[in-house]
Amino acid sequence: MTSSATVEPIIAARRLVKRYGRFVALDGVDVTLYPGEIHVVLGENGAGKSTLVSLLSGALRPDEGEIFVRRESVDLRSPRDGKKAGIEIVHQHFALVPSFTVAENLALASAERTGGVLNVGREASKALEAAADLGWDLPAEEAVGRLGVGEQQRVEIAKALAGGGAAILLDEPTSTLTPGEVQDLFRILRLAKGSARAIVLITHKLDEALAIADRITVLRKGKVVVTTEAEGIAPAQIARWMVGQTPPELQKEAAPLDGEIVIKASGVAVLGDRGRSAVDGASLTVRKGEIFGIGGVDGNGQLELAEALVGIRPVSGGTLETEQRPAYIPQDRHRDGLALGMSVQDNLLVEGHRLPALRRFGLFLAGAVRAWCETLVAKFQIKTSGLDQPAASLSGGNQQKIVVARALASEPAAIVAMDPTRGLDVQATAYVHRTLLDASRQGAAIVLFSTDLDELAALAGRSAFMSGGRLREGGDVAEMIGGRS
Amino acid sequence: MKTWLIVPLGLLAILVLTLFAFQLPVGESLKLLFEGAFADKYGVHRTILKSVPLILIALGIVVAWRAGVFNIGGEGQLLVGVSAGAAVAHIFAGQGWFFQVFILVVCMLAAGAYAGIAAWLYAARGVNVVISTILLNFVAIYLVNYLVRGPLQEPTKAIPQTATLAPAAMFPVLDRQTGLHAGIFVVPIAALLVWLWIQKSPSGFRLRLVGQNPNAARAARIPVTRVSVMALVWSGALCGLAGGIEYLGVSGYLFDKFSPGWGFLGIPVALLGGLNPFGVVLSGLYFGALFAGSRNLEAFGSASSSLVFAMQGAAVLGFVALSEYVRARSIRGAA
Amino acid sequence: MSAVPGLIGATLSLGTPLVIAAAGEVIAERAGVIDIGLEGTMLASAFAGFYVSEVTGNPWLGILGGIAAALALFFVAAHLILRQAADQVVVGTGINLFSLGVTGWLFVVLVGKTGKLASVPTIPKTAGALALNPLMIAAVVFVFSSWFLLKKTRWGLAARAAGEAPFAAEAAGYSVIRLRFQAMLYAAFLAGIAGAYLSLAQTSSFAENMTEGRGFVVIAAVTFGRWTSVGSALACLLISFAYGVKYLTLSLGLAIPSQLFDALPYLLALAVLAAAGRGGIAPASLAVPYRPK
Repeated sequence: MTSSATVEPIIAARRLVKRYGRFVALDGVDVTLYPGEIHVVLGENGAGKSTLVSLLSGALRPDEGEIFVRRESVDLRSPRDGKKAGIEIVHQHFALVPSFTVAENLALASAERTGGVLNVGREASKALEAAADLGWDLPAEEAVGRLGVGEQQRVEIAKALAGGGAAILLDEPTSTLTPGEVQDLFRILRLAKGSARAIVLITHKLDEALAIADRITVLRKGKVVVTTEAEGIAPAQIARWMVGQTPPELQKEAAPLDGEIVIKASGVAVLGDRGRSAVDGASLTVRKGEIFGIGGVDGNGQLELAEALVGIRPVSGGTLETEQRPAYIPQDRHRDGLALGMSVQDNLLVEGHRLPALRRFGLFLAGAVRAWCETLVAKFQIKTSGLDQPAASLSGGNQQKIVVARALASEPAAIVAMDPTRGLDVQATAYVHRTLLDASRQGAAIVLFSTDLDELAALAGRSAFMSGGRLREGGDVAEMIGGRS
Repeated sequence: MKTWLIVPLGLLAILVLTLFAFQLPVGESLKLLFEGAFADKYGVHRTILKSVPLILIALGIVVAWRAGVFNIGGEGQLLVGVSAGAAVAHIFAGQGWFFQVFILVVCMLAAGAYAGIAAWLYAARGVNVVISTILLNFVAIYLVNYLVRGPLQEPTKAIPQTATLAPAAMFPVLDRQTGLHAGIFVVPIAALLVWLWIQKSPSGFRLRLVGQNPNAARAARIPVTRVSVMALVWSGALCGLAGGIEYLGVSGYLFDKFSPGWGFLGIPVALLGGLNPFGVVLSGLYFGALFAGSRNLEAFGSASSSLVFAMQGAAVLGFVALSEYVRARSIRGAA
Repeated sequence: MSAVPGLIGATLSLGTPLVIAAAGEVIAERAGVIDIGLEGTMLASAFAGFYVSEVTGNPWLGILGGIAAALALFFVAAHLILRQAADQVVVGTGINLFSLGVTGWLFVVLVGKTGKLASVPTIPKTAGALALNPLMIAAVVFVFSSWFLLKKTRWGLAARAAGEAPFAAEAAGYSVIRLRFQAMLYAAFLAGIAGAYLSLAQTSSFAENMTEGRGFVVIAAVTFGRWTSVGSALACLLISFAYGVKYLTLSLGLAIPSQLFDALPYLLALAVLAAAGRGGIAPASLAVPYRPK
């Protein structure tokens, strides 16, 4: 691809900016895609990769900047516009209808809109043929929900290929695949790029990037660090680009290996919402004063395991022993954490309403409740105009502080935290990290689920990774990052 | 504008618009309405009596809706409650306050159990509460229709209604001219108890949390289904109480049109009261006053008696639109 | 055995509005919108149909009036449900109460208390116990068209995707909001015809709350019919048979309380809902508000 300078680019994004409130997800990003290249966009979680995908797909609109398709400026207002402009996306969470057959899913996405009357067979045929050309025999009449993850992804890729787009973006495509499936995917992508198509692979996995990329763009904290030819680049160099030079500020302590065991799971199996196996034989032991990290890409059974650990989802196999039910910092504070329409006080009471000290004769003691809440607001530095302020009107960081505050209020012996810093700015993140470390120093056993490797590296003593419902013991996080690069 | 002002001003606006639509002289009508509801003892007592069942039903609606359980079955729960109360009253044929409390408890138990059918269908079979409670309304209406022509019919079998209670079996009358009875004191007590429960107790807190965000409640290990079931059963019990008070205080017998749609009217009353127990007392008195006052408008034609129903309709949709608007704005503000 | 044609006739006549409304509701639900306000919509249409027929003397214009009333409520519901992403149950309940209050009032205002006298021109029907009318044929057509729309058109595929996995529909280039809007529009159109049928074919007048829960019965039937057009129609006929049985027992003079038969359709609807249970077959995103990014 040394000739790229002379070839007309398929897509050029110029100075893209996307903000969420005060948080800048993308800060002036330039990306250029040429025909016949596999372009890997690398970055840690939170670097802005997903936002970039959303902007290029039309799911979100940039606050500033422009996107050019074959030198023409386009305004992508919806995924429909993105498809029209020739940009196909293979989403990390597949855009498939589980109850539809493979053929119906392909027909749904098909560009061959043959009038009003539906002919599933014909409209799916192009995608099925495209898949067959690559050596995939997709089961056209099978419901997609009954297929394995790898096969579902093939349906997604077949959709994208049949769409005839000049560019295909794959968002973290390897996150749920077995090593064999990854090899097969890469083989297919090399075939599919041909000479006219650009393939973009979004990932945080360095070794995979080097295995397939023609060119690499590294994102960090919403900015492009570098765009370069992949050949001859040392992995260690890329790792430095991704992580930056900043050393972790936090001083975690060596995990006491002889501490009292607080959480012990052996061979735990948990079912997901639709009755399918979500966690398959997870074993872990967490001791007093230890932070045990669990990494991995979202949707690999972390939520179900966390809910089983805190006792709100039944365990379908194996044994789980906890000294007492762990306090819970749920992953999605808007979905599972807060009642946005209720006041700060009520949201703090979500855990505290059980405290005997706060009630008498079955009624709350108003004074005691306020004092208890005010103590928490002060201790956890929650910025609020008063206890009666609705939680909805707080900033994300202060909302998260409420969730953290009430979980830690009663100094629990065990804590399960999921992505406790998702969407928080630097200061709020540092605050949550400090708080968790303090809790562990005071003897709490903490299970920290995080999709952010840096976070695990900074906080966790031992770590494991989840993939496809299985928990793989990873040992020391620092080693894991070292091994990665 | 202050939020609390929106409701009374909105209600006044809707009232004026409705009068306008009825082609009634607005100023004159407002004056007559006000006089009919408040000018003298008769008006005031009439307003209170009309508002009693509305407030009690609305309290029941508050309990369920605050838990996110949309009970629309107040009408059926009330009717089943009174049916049981009337049956037991005739079996025991007692009198005095002990008897009256006993009958009220029977009404509440039966109505609560009837709501419990919908609660069970929801908890065990996932049946939408709105649909099951409304279907049960019709079953209850036909049940009463049958009872007052069958097993519970008065001894002479001449009219489709139950035998009338002896005056001593009914609530003491406070004013012979207006029929004001001692049962009205149940209303402030019930409102206070519901308020203490919903707003001031851990159990009520769990109920509100389940209504606001069941996912967050679940994450906090609150048994969401059990809380919903309990809310619906208590909601039914309060509707049964409304029927019992009316039975022991006003009619003394059960008949086909025992409830002129209180079970449905209770919903707008509850919504306009902001789903708050004390707000419900105010909005119940407002609707009671409209009922009482609209009598005075009959000089202007028969249509005016359905004024309240028209207002009810307009008010509900206005309320839904308004609250959705406020909610959408607060969520946007948070994002 | 002379009661048999009467029973069949009653089942068909009483079942027709249910079948028509269900043919629309099934589309709305498959696209992810449960129309709790169907009861109120049908009631408003029954009144509008009655009133237009009375004023114009033409029952077919009455049917158009019923459709117009349903569409008016549809715009309110669609705005709240789709634009504001409001809770579908709350909005539907609002529509029901609004319709109950306003039709009751309009009836008194426009027709006066002497409503019994107002017998309006109705849809013609065949003589004899079967008493067939053209809308029965229309009902069959609507069931077929709903089936065809859902199963045989690209729009149906997209609408079903909107009810199952809105994200997938959106990624395939469709607007979930638009699909749901169209599905609700279709459902409202049929609800309008079904409502007007009540006052223009089943009876020749209007009475307060004359729908008597039929809107909810239809929703129950759609659940029992497993969200298929044909299944929902059959479930409607099963329930209308329960309505019809009453006439059979009346003519046979059985000593069973007639109220039991009055209540039977509702009990049956409850039973089918309980029997249908949660199941995994409901559209996965039914009644889940969709908020575009």
